[in-house]
Amino acid sequence: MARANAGTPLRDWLLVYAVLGGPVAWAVHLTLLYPLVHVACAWGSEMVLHAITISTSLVAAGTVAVGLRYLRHPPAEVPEVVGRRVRTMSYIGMVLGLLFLFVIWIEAIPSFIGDPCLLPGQIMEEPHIGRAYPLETALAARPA
Amino acid sequence: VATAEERLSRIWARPPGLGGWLAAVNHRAIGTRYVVTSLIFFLAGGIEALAMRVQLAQADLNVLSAEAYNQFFTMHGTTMMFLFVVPFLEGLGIYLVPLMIGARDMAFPRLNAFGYWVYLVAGVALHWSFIVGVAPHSGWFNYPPLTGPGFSPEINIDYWVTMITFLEVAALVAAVELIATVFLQRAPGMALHRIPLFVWSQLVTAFMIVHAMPPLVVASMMLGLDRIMGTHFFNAAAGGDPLLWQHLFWFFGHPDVYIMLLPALGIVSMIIPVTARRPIAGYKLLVISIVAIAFLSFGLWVHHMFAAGLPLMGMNFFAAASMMITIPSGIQIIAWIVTIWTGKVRRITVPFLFALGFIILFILGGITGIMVASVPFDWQVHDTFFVVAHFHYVLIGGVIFPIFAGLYFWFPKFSGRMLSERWGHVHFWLFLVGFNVTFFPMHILGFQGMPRRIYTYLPVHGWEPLNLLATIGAFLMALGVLVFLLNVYGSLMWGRKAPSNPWDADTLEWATESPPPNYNFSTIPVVTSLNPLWDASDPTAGSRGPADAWRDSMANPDQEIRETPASTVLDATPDHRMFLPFPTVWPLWTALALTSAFIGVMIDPIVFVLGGVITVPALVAWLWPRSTPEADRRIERSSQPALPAVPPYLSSYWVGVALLVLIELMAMGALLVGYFYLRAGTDEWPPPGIPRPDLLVPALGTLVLLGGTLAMRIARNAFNDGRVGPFRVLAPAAMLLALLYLGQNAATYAGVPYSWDTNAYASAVWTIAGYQSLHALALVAITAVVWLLERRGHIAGRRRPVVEAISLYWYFVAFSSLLVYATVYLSPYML
Repeated sequence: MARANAGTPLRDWLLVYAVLGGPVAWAVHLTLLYPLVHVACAWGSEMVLHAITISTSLVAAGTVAVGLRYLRHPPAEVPEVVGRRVRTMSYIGMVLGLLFLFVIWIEAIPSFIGDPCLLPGQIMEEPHIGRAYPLETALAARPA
Repeated sequence: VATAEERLSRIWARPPGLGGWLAAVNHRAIGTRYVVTSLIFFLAGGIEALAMRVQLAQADLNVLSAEAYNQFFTMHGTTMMFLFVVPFLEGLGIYLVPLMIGARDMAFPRLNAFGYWVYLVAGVALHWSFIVGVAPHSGWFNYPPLTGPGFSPEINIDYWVTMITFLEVAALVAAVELIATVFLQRAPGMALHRIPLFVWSQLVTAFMIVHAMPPLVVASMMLGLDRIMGTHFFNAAAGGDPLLWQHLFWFFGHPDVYIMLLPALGIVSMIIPVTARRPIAGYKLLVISIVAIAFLSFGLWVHHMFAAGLPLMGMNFFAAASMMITIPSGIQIIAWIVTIWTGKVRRITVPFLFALGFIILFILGGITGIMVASVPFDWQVHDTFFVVAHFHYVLIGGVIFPIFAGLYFWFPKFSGRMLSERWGHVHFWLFLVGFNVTFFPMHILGFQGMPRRIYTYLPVHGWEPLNLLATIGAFLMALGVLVFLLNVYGSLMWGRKAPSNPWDADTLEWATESPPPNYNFSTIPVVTSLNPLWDASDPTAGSRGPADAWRDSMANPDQEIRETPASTVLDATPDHRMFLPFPTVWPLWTALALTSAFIGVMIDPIVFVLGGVITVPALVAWLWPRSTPEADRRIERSSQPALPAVPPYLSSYWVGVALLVLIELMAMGALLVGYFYLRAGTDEWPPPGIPRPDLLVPALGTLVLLGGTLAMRIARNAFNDGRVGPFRVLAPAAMLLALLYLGQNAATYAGVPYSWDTNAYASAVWTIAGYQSLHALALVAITAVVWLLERRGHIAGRRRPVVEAISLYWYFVAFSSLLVYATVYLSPYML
């Protein structure tokens, strides 16, 4: 209780992380996921895609935690205007973190159920999860 | 004895006559010019659209030839996207943002003027190509290989490539201006949670421009090099890839839709609460949705390429992101509806009417957006009139309606006159009905299979009735615009005079006269809430104690200086005075010198270099201080209570250079992505016949540049400690090392057994090396100018942070040299 009364020390860089961490984690997720489809196809495993999803999710979840922390235990002994600004930033950070966590997982769905080697016009003939893909398929999936 | 207002008015006035008009740098003058010029381009784009609609009204018409039709639809798209909407909204931001945040002008007024002249010249040049019959004719997206030298050897595409690249300079300049102004110049008390939503939308949009435009500049530069210098970025036969263009173009192109949309949403978020007589519902959620839309918009570009044959899984990532953007968009719509629902709308004003029209049409455009975000649906309607209907619902419904709303809302502030409400209603209904009659049938035409960009069709297709209907609708819209123009003219001539705050609105721009005086506010306002004019206290009242006595001094200046307070980024606590420059014609001359470079490139690449060379003295003349160091120190020592003259925390110099670095990082990133994209398309890299690059000499060159950066860092630290001696010695040493790096680059490429036109690999490495060399050259030039200024005593007092700012540029060039080394030299051994 005493700890809660003391409030979280005001660290603006942490609040900036809370606001931007979620969107940036999502941006990294998409930026890495898209080119690595070819790698997943070549390796015959989507683990590389899942690893990116999990690591960026952790970053986004961190922003939710920071936002929540500042909302529940705002910094003590700061001017009112600063207190309100901190509250706004932590709220924005928490909601943005949740939103982008959601988007990261929505985007990750294809990597759980799809086939990284599939091109337009081809049909997935069997459940592919865990199946290895030959290198020829990987090369065919490269952009012309 | 002159009153305080008269003194302020004299200080902030622009010189008389044509010379004074050309030299104007005030944000309201520049903002007005942007708005008026962009509206003229809007009329041009509208006439182009009408000509196309006449051609398509019936089957087999010959109003326009096939070639003319191609030019018309290319110029229509280019004009509306590049010359109307983005410049209009930036112009609106340039006019309104300083007023809304309680500042007297923007952070870099001369840069502002420069941006406008660049925009004007580029727009006129693009339309000149139309007049002489060689307008661009391959669509506003200019896909190669159609636009490459093989299929389009004529000058038409050169106009697009050079002028769009040039135009982006103006867009970037305005974005830098807006970011720096919002970061540094908010009125005391305007912390992050009290920033008006229009300002939020302009700030976020400016950041989007800074991230989205450089890839387009790089892409159009690559296309220009392919066409003029014979490189092969997009030539598949030599290892290039036309899809690279699509990736780079749409990485700009899709965010560009939201670059247009977000300020429009900001306009609506300002009008609705004023009409509903209550603060906006869900302010924080609206800020969240603005930020979320901005980020998500960068993750949608591949949905323009669903028919390009990309791997399905990759497309699904983008389909998911495309659908996710409906969440923040939906938040906005719900917030507006809640505000209206729970407010007290006493009168349906014309701005409110346009805002309501926007909400309905934006929802309709959004629904078709979700439809085309689905890969299978997109394949069915790709390149049909359904897509034309969809994006016009988004861009006219979502952007033009709010633009008209904003024009009616802020016209009294711009002109001091009220627009006629009656004619405003006529305008609205003509435009709304005309819009739906034009574009709704296009959904059906798309389902019926009518492709986009065809100049005619046969009667047998059965598309005539709906096309005729669309053409009738287009003329109704045009009639609506004509009514608007007559309304503007009549109001300027005979309209009712506008009071300071005709709408009883809540934000600071309404706290000053209509139109505002040259200095915007005599007493800098203090903000204590999100709706300062609805508070009990007057935000523009004089000081409340010794802590803000500087506000009284600033309202009653004893020196001939243009000053405005600068404040901290998060809490808007005033921490120093910003000294703003007086009018000058040098931004105009610099823009004209740069124009000669960009237009010259169509004649011969050497003219581009010559244009660049004459730009340098114009820039130096622009930046060189006119006052003596002694006069500067005198100005900084105010006899009245004043804020410090030297920034204690963040200077405008540093913010400006940081934004330049961000732009350059995005451009360098786009180039390197291009390199790796080309590399991914082949098994052998470098291609057969080209040896792998030497590692040792470029490594030594990079180390030399890093050494220069270290020298500059030591010089900066000494300078910040008040010792100028080390700076005077080490800065030239650092420049010498940068020149050595340049020499190494030149020697390396003089010795390679291939040229930029050998194949795509060669094109990529030559371009990356050339671009990095330009960085090093700019570094030397900037450092030399600062060194000279310091020797003459100008880098002191308020200009001390200049050294900190150029150090940042040194770090960037050092970092990019490492990136270049890793990409061009190391990666062929590793990937």
